[in-house]
Amino acid sequence: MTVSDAATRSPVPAKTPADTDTVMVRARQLGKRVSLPSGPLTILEGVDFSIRAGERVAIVGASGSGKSTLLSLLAGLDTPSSGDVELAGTWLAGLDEDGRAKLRGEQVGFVFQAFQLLPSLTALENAMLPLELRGERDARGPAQAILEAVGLGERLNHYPRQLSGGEQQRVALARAFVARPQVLFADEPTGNLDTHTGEAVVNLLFQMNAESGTTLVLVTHDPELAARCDRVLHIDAGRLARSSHADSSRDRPDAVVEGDSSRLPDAGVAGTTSSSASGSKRLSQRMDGRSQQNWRENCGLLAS
Amino acid sequence: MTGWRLAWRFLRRDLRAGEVRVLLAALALAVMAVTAVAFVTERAERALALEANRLLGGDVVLRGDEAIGEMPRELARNLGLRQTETWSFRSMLRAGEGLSLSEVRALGEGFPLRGRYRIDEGAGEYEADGLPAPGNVWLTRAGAQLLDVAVGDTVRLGQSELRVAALVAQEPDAAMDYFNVAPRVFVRLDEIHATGLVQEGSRITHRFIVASDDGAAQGFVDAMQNRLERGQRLETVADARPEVRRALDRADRFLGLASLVAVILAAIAVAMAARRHSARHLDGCAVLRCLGASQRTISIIHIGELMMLGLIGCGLGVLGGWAVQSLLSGWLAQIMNIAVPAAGWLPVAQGFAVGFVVLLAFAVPPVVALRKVPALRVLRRDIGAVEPGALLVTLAGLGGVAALLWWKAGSPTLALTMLGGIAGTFVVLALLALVLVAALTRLRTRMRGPWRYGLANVSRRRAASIAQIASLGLGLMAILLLTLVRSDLLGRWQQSFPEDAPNRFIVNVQPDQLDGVRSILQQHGEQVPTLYPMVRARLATVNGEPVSGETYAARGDRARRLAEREFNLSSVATLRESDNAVVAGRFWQPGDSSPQFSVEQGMADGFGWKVGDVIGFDIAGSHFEAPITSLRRVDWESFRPNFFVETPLGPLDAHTASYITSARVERGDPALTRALVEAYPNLSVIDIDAVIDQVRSTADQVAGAVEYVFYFTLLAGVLVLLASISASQDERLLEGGVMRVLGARTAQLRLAHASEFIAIGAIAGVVAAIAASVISGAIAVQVFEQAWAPDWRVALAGGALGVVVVAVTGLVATRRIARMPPAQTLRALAG
Repeated sequence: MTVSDAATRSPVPAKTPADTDTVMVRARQLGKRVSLPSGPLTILEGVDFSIRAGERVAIVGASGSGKSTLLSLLAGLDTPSSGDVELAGTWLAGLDEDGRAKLRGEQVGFVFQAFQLLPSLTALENAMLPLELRGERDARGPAQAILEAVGLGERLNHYPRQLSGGEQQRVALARAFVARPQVLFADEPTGNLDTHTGEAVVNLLFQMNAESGTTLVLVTHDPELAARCDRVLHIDAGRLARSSHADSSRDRPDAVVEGDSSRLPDAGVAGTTSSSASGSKRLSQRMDGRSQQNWRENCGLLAS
Repeated sequence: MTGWRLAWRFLRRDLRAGEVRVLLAALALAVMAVTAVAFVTERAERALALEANRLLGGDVVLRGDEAIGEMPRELARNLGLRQTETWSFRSMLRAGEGLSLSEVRALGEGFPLRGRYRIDEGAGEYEADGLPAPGNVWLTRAGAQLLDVAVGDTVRLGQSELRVAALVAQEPDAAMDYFNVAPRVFVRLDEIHATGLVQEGSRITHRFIVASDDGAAQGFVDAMQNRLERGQRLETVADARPEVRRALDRADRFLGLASLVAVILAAIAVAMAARRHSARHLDGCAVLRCLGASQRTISIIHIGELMMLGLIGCGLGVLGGWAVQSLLSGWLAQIMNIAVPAAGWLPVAQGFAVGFVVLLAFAVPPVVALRKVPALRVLRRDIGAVEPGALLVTLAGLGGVAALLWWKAGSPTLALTMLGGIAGTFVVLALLALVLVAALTRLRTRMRGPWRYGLANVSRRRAASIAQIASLGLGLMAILLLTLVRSDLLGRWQQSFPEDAPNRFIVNVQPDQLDGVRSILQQHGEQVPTLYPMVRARLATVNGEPVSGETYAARGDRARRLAEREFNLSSVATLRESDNAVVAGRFWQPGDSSPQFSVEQGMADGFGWKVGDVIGFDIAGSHFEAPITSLRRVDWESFRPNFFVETPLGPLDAHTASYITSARVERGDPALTRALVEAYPNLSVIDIDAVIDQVRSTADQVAGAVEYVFYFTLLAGVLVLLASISASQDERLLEGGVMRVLGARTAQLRLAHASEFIAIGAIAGVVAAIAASVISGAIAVQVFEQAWAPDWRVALAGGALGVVVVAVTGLVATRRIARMPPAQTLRALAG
């Protein structure tokens, strides 16, 4: 089954008219097969959909349904056996491994279940890494600002092993958002956290996402988490079974819901190249009292 | 039985998956290092044994530096022994234009009593029966080549013209002349006086040789034992060439111990690899436990796998060792100057023994711990990461190393010293590495992205980094040290000869030849040639008490030998201040002719003599006694004639002397030598340039052998690096994948790895260079008595060598990480 162009029916309020028209992620007849000693195995087949800029989409499905494979194909971490992916305006089929890495570095952020911080680097250095890989000259300023914004200002020089699970995931969030990605891919971001901490991290994730207007693609088992997204893609046996819309307006900060994007003028605008590393600094600077307080509450929860 | 079958299956699986490659390589290298050295020394031993029978030319040799008296001859006759004798000495040999210092062997009737000469009269080799015919000589092939002589040509030996009747391919005696390339000429003993070469004061080695077919020669040994005169020695097959045997023994011990350094480093690699091996089998063991395997079965499977691996590794190592020694055998034959027989099986056994000691001491403890894995680990992966007891690991490791050292060193004291030395060096290297790694941690904050990641890895895996640096440093240090000692010190030693240092020594000048020799020297540019008399004497009394070698045995080998052998007294009018300085007492005034001695300081120290002691010498049967009035420090490197004991002019005049002098000529210029020998055939002209060249080439050959062993050490260091890279491979794969996901391009990923290895290599190189410089400095000061001049180029070269070796190894070992598609990493993460 194919659900094409489902995003046009999205109820999510648009930040700007341009946002709603821009497709950020598009899968076209996507398929993945691997050959095993027992014969060829089809993991994904004929998957078609598109995700608009700023949209928040959950991919759900049973274990082995192919959702993680789908995520890796969408992010250009793997190459499809058939079909193609358009990511932030670029078709991936035309890119080699390094080309895809470059695109990821410029347009994509990741949050993993197991955090995946580099153990040899401090929290600050971890957060600086995406900017450095992109060749930005001043990586320290934005990285420090965003770590302070997630409540880790006192832990900049701590190594991952010195941080709690919740703190590590906050560093991971900071690392994901610091380069101001157009798209954020999250793979079971709360899988390794207890319910309480997981909830706080999710709150922070959605809040940061909303503040920056990033497109969010989330793989999860958790129906509640999926329900907080604008749309849910159900994967079953390698096919897109259905696409459903969720009522997720409660997660949107009022300011964005009301369509007032003045506080984040360049955040999340599709097609904008995120060359400005200071954007994230502004992100934290421009947060109004209320959202800062929200962050702090979430951070406080995480720290507790 | 099931356990063993499973073990075999596990091993095959692991081999296929490349899981045990480093373990196998480290083990094979350890075995290879030991086996190669064992093969080489065993072959040398065998060569020695083979030659021993032919070595003496008889059953027993009575050797002395004076003519053998009547008593031994009569004894031999009474015992019914066959007897003969040979004389040997050095002299100039001329053939047309060719001229060379050569060794003359004068052979008595009946020589050799054992063995035969193999000679070639131009129609192929055969075993000669008897001696050269009267008026004929034989010449070694090498000598014939050097002098450009063929069979039938005439050579001039002293005053005799003799025909070369045959070339000698193999001699019954002296076949083991190490480093001796001087031509040898064989003449009849009854013709030697006609040459005019044998004169009073000539230095001749006399050999009286006996043999019997019924074992009666032993009676000769027993009877002679207590009747030996001064300077006489008995030689039997059993103790033939003791100096050669000692040298070989020392070489075996030194090379053996040096190869053990490689073994110890390889053992570290084995231990690292075994830890990883056991870590990777934790899950499998938990599942096996779940499925009902007993601890015993698990032990059998894993220890069995290790033992099979040990057999394969040892086999590969022995093969490698054999290959290396066959490369070395050409070199060995060249040094030993004889054919080298094939090696036996003993080195193979040694290789396997060492391999299994390493395996048992370093690889088994972590694997033994596997049996304790709880089945519960199947459910909870965070539990059951069993660690072998630290005490067990330490004891097993140290015990293994100590056992190996004891075996090679032959004595617990030496083993302990070695262990201390290696451990000490390792600790010093590790401390240096610690300091540099700490400095690196500071530096990394100034670095960006990939560089920072790489440097951060060095400090995060601090323990592993330091182990790598110290191991590689040890290998690099050994090689740098060798290079320094060989080229730098030898070079400086050679440079330390003054530009105008004499390079020809003229010895054996007779009193009636003094004026003639002096005028020839003047014709060849020597301004004021000084000829020094030499009177052969032997130490007899000190302060009236008779002394012998035994008296000074407690003062060490050198003192004992000096007391036993003949040496030369000389007379000088004044102190030659250019290379002599009085350090105690007063030197005589010119014109003073009262009997007194000035003794070289080192010799006086060796004997414990001081100014005022009265020393008595035996000179050709008469006693000459005088007090020591001064001690001199002598600069031997001036290369002028210098003497341990000097007297004023006068007191020695009554004794027969030959004279010595030195001269400086253009390198390789034969004119002076030819003029002298033409006029006085008895003169020996020694070419110092040739001696220096020989010292150099000897040093090069010895260093060559040692270098091979040290390359094993460096290779072992590289294996430690590989083992530790492979131990952190999973981590690196994951991190590489994450960096990929975050947008790192291949080049950035490679740079991140490169920076880590460049840092480790540079630190190892610098640490090695510092250590090598300090040690070579100590050698320069202690052994060569030169000032220490550290060379910054060594640090640079060490650093560069370290960087190249480590970066290449590291980048090759981690290339898989950059090639791995990030999705695979994600999958691994999901799992």
